[in-house]
Amino acid sequence: MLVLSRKIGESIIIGDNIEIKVLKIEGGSVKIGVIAPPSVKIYRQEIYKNVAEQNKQAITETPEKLEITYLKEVLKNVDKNR
Amino acid sequence: MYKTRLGEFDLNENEVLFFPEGIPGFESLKKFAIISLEETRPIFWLVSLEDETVALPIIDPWIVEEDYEVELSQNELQILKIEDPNDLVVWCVVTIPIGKPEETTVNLKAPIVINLKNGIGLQVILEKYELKHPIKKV
Repeated sequence: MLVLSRKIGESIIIGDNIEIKVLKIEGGSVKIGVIAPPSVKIYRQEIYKNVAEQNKQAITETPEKLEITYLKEVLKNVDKNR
Repeated sequence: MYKTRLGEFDLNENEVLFFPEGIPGFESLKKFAIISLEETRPIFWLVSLEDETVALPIIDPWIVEEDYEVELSQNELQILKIEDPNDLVVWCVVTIPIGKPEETTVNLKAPIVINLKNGIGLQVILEKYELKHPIKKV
């Protein structure tokens, strides 16, 4: 891990084309701006992790054998929404 | 013939979907298909064709949230190679807790977007919406 210090308005450059700039520091949080080519995916780390967790949960929690009774109850609720 | 969590299926070439980035948590899985089972509708299934333990229940998000909106970035449109927005279909993953179907949630935050023209799919992450949107009215 590289550790360095930056002031407001200063940037770091990663590779040739990714710039990360410190915009604002307030309380315990830092507002940063990222300039990167569209092909670079940028996520808040915990959000990507949460989506991965949710996908795993959807797979493991789903009844092993299609227990139709479960699903039927779910569908009943869906119908109510219509 | 493909072996999946839901059984064996004979699929046509054009029914095999390609997820170039996999999906979060399953980045190495690229080949999927959507299976429709009469008895579970309107829940459909996104099944992996490479790992027969992986099947995700999915639903048309507009059934759950009438005003649902999906905004795709330039990069996402490029990955999907979208030429006509009409070629897009959107699904959301359903989590059905064992024994507690009344606590079923829909992941509106990370819809699965598929280009029907070329079979390319992508799970995108939106700024809006919840990861666990209750499927029933609260």
